[in-house]
Amino acid sequence: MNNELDFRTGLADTLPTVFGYIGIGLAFGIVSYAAGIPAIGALLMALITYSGAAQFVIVSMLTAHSPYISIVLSVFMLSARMILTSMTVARYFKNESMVRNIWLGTLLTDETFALSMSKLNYTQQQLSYPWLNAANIFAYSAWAAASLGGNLLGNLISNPEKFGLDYALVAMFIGLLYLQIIGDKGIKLSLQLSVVLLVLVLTYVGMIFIPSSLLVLVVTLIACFVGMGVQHHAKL
Amino acid sequence: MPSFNYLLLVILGTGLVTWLCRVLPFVILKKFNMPKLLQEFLSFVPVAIMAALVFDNMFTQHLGHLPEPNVPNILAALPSVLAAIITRSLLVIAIVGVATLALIRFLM
Repeated sequence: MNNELDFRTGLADTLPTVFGYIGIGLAFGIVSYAAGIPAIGALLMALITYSGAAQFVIVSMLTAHSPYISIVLSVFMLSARMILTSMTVARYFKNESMVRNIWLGTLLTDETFALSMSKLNYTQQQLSYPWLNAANIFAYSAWAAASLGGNLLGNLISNPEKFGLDYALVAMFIGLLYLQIIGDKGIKLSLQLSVVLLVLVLTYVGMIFIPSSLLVLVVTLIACFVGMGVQHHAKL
Repeated sequence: MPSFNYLLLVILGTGLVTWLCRVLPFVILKKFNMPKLLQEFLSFVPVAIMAALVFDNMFTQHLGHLPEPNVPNILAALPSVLAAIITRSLLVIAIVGVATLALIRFLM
């Protein structure tokens, strides 16, 4: 990664993460085929719902004949953390037009969010519309293509787990977390590591009683509160 | 599997919900300034959310009981972290993680 913020650099910066989308998108496509969802359904879900975790939940809830409202509500709880990621990114686009803000928000994902946070460490805390737009569009296309491809391949591959494809995204987040910790100079390293440790403890304890759809959101909110409190206190 | 029309309704409903979560913060922050304290709060979002997404995959949840360590995922995380430290390349990290997990599942 470098300090360039044009469209081409956006594509180049996103390229290494595309493997992650393809892995998990294929896995989703295969699972959706196994659940009896037609190729056009898998494609539309990738294009319209556009959320990896939510799409897996939808397929399993459809299979379990869950009521409509509980499917939508689960997806909302799962997606509520995107309010946080969008808020974090939106700050850097305040001077862009409303239409551009809406467009960037429409295609923002956990991964392009994480990529943006890494990029900030190379650009003196700047992001640009062409750069994020390129990252978003690239990620969106790769996700849609992989979801469709996985569904079409569904009759050939019955268990995607065998190939470890479902781990592509986890590994990518491990990498992005590492890059974030070493790159973010705004927060002291010791505080960052403390937050990571706190998140580990909260996740472990939270799993006992917080439903999985809410866990990441609740844990993130608590960890941010504690981190903010510690940093604020240290400044006084 | 339910009818295609029902599937389409589910896609549209969930699509609207995810879109609102994504877009509303952009719309609101375009109009209003963010308080300093909220900015400080948000500066912890990247490290906290990424850590939460990683650790979420390291355990299997059994509501009402202690979570069970997901041993294959934890084992596959170690070479992924090493790959991160050595290469700093997301592509290499993802390939190392996937290949390790595939190997572990093959052997187990």
